[in-house]
Amino acid sequence: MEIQTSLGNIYSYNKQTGEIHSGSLGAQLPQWDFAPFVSFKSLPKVDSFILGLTEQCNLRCTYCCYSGKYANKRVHSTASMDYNGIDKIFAYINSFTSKRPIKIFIYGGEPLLNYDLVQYAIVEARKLWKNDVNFTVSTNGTTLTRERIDWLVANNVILAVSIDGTKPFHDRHRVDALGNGSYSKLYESLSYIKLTYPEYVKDLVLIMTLASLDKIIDIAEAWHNDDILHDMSPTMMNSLAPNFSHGVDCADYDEVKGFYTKLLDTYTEHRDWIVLKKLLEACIAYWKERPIFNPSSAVPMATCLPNNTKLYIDAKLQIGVCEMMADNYRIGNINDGIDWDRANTIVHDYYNRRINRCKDCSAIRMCNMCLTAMEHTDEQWDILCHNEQVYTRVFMYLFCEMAERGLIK
Amino acid sequence: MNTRANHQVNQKNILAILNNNIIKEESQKDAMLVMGLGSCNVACMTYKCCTGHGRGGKHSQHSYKINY
Repeated sequence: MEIQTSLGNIYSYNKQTGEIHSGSLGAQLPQWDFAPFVSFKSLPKVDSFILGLTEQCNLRCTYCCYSGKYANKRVHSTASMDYNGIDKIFAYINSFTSKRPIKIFIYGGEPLLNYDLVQYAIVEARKLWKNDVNFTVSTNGTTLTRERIDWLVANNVILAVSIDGTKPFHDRHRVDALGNGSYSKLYESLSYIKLTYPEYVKDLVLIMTLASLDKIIDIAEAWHNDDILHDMSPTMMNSLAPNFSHGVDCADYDEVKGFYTKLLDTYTEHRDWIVLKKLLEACIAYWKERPIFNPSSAVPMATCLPNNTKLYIDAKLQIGVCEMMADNYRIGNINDGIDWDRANTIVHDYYNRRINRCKDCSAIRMCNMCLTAMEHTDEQWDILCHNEQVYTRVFMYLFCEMAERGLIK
Repeated sequence: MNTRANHQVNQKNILAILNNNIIKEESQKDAMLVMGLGSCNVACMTYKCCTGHGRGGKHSQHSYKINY
């Protein structure tokens, strides 16, 4: 893999060692050597459990993966956990792992629509595990009253709040069934948190979902000029999962590079625009943190199972690899535990699909493909792989360009 | 390899920035090899994951590859 910076300098990436060199490497890189699949019967690193407390939501965000626009994803429903279900889950967690602290992520739908159950789960978990349990609640923020915020903060619960920018940008997608925007209520809650609990703000998780980047410069400027938001960095900036029901375009390197160069030029002029800073940091994070060494021998296929640290439990008490995995890939349920044959089959199939496809790929060590891609066909994988390679190369360019401009140290 | 010097930048400093995470410890290498060396896993293991795994619990494919 090779890129050229705006100064005309060429940098090459050697996938065998992980190093970036000055100049062109020229010769063909060797094939990547995969170790054979090894079956497993335990998940020893799991300490995190994501509970899909309810499938209900009071919003109908235009891009929601549960909107019915995605194949293989559930739609909004009235399915919810109950008190008995929470008791069963905690008994299961107790039998599943002795790791501490246990991390519980309450997820939905919108979990705060069932606030009593959220409180019950937190109180019961504290009885069971005392301070050896951490809680995060994912919320759209629309039902966060002052009383609820006070209780959640007092109980050391981390809030993960969805916010897609200031009002015009957020309300473009995050709407209720009638199309009304959800920003005003959310902003009121964030303002209360910031002014009442300034120490808590550093623990607040702000999740920004971007259906596209077409307005990102405007979002960054408006965020910078907002009295409450200006010094609060988004924790995560997510794009949408590829939706083949609507078509997924093949990315073009020069076009994508041109766009990110424009973003970088803007950031170079406005280094205090925290949203652009976060976005660019996220783009180059995998390049910056990549481990540099020559593995010298065959390596296993990179995937989560069996080294994953989390499991997902849905509202029907089925167990999933993670919350992003399609519903038809559940690997067990709370009553019967994990179906190890099923879990092994999914991972084995994943190995078989990738082993020939990936051995010649220059992006193998930078690839973000995971088990969630199992729902896609081989033809769809061709597009995903193409885009993975394009974005990996663009972000290598961005990494080198930022280094040359003195934007990273 | 084309060894011509890159211009207008301090080449040594730039390459040091671009290659800042050289793994020397064998035990660290072994631990990473168990994970398979995909960026997703390595980021996850080192808790430097930009998707926020371990924080918000969200983790989506291509989450850091934001299409424009």
